[in-house]
Amino acid sequence: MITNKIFLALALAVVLLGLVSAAETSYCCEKTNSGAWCQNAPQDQCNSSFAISPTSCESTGYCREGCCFNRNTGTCAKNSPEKICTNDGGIWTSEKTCSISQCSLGCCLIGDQAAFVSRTRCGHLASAYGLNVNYRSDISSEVACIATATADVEGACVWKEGFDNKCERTTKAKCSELSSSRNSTFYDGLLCTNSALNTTCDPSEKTTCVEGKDGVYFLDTCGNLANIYDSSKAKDETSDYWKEIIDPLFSCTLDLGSLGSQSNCGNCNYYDGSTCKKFERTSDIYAPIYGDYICRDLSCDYDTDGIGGIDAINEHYQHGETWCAQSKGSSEIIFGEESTPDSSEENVPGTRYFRLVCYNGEVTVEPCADFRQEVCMEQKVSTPTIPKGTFSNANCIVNKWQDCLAQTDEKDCINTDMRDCSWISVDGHGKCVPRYAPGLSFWGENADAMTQCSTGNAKCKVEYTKSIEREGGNTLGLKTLKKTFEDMEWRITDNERCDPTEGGGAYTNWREDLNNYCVSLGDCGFSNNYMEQKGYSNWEDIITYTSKMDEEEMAEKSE
Amino acid sequence: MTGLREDAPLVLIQALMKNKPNRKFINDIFIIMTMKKGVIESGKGQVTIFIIIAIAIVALGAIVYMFYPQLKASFGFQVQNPEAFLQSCLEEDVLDSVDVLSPQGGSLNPTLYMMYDNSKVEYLCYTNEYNKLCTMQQPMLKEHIEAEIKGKISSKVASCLSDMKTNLEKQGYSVILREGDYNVELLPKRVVINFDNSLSLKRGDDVSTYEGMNAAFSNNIYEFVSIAISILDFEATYGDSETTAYMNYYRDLKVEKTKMTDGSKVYVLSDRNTGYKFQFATRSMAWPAGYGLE
Repeated sequence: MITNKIFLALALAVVLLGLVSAAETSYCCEKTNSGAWCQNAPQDQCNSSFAISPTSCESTGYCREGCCFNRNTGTCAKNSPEKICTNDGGIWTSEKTCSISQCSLGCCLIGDQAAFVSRTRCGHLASAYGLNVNYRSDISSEVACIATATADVEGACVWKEGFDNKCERTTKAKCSELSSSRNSTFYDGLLCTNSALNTTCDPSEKTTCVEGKDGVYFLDTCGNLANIYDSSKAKDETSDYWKEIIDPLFSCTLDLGSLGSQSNCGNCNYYDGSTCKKFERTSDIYAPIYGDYICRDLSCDYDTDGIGGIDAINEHYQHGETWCAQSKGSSEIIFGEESTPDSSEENVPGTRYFRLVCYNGEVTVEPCADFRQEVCMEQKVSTPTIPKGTFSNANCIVNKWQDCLAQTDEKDCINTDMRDCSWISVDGHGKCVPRYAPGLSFWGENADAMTQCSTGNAKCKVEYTKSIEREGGNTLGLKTLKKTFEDMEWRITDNERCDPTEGGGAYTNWREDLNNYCVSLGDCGFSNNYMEQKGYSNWEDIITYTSKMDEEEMAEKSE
Repeated sequence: MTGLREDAPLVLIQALMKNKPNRKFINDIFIIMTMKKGVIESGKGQVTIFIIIAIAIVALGAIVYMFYPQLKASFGFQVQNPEAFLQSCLEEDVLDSVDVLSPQGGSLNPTLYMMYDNSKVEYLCYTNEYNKLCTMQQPMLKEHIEAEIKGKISSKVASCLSDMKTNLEKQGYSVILREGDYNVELLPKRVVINFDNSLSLKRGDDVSTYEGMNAAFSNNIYEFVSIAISILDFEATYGDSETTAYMNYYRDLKVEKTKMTDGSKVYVLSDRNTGYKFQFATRSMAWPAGYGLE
């Protein structure tokens, strides 16, 4: 109950301070001195050359946010103030979220490319490429849009030049365009190396990468693309390999885990973790049998545990895999396996969470929000095809700790849909605390740390008693005092666990219990920081002992 | 004289003949050039002169290579095609301005910015408050960049048009150049400058007219700006964005997001092949330390 009162007081303080704060920042600056448009800030931060009103920007005409769109290019921007929109030639509407027809997205198909954009932008792109517009408003997702993009059917475009049959691999449309100038014939699905076409193009051992495609392709002697690189078929003149265009689905299978597969097969797939690159000794383990290009393995190795060296299985990550760094002081948070962290070692002052991302053979580090306002959560998906057995997806998620202290019911406290809190026992009572202790500001006059940590303050009054023992009765039947008051011994009759001299193990437990509560609140209490440096060096810094009542006071009480 | 072979001059000539410059060869040239007079025998002295001439030729070649567009304009290389001339004349300035504004969020002189990696990175969506979605600072980012480039190259455009006219007149053309405005447009894989000019050339019976010339420069800034706009849309709607989605769609793209202590974020978009970078900052849905009571 006392805690509740303290929290209510804190909540009240928050509200009051919020009001004070709002009173300080209630000017809407059309432009601030730092150059930001439309910010609520104290008056002295507003640029006096622009509009200033003692109200929030949402209430002003000059900083009302809406949707800014460009009539020609079809680009749309949400949360845009009218003035900066129109200054740059945009058209402004009050529809803040851009839910207007000019900004609704659809699938723009241009040649074999696709983009999920507005109709206007599609038209703009098509004119930039000099191609016809094919806009599909019925496709409502980017993934579906990209999947819809298909290349035109290709084949061999053959024409006569002197006594020779020249050939170029191209689309039917392009071949038709050229047919007027060179009287060419299109052979759907055939390669220029097809012997039946009797062209000057022959199979070669040269390979190449193709923009917009993942695989390694053989080239013919005329420089035309042939099929996906397959070393076993390089000299094969009997099969269809050098005769027809073969879909990559029916080409060789690349197995990055298999010895030498990269040397022999160029059927790379970006989503499976490989792409066509020029062979480099420093980056590639295997060299191609023919040509200079290879399916590069895009997986990554990273010393996640930070102890040096790479664990070939557990520290080998697939292309596209994301996972949480094992940064000092951070909790290992696995989706579906959330547990209460050890507050003495985890989420200690200075701890921050980081997400690691493996793409294109390179690991990038993404810090989560500072002060543990975000934590990193990892989900491990069972994937038997990779040695580690799991594929990780990690994300920085918001740490919802703010209302933990207000929870008095265990069920409400541990409701993970609502908050990230833990129910712990403090000195025999259940308390709701942040599961991942937040970082607190300790600087400034009204620093969070002072307010938040003070909710963990506790007072324990140890009761000492002197018992009056009497000797046997005299002739009147009255007992006499055995000893004088001063000679009597003090005995603890209540809260012995709080007395450092008498409490023993109970005292240590009580102290640990309360400190555990404190450190769970945030950067409070007696703990080391993330670098394992001591904060408060002694318990005495956080526990204050007041002296016993003086003798006179006790004598009065004893009477 | 350490490292100089006795037959150095002969080796140098052989190397020149074979056109195989190497580190040793360059060292030898340097050492010979710093030799005191009289150290080299008279026969070898002649060879030295040849070497010096050879070096001068190479140096001249290098200068021509490095300053070709300017020399072309200054020394009166013939203007065969006015558009090609403008392209060549403007290329360096256009691409330089793109290189300057790309790491600065699309502005040549950012006003609202944070320092990151020694660059002033402009906030394109910003709020100074906590727990609040950002306000767009450059809603028309593409148009803003186009205007920035246009402003940066304005004097160069004027001088290029003037040089072109002078050059053509030197070639004996009678030139009528109606100068109009020009605009810069970012398009897929290129930056285009469209001139609203008309140019009439007459030499004898030879008459040619050019209406609305344009110059295109290969660059990927359009693609990067499009991705930046998409990220800004997420920032304005949700307060954050997912970087991996972009790397899934665009294979050579690297998206890095760094969250700062004050809640600002820096996005660095880069091309894994060319190393070209576009970076910008946002501050949206920032959280304070603790309850943010201070």
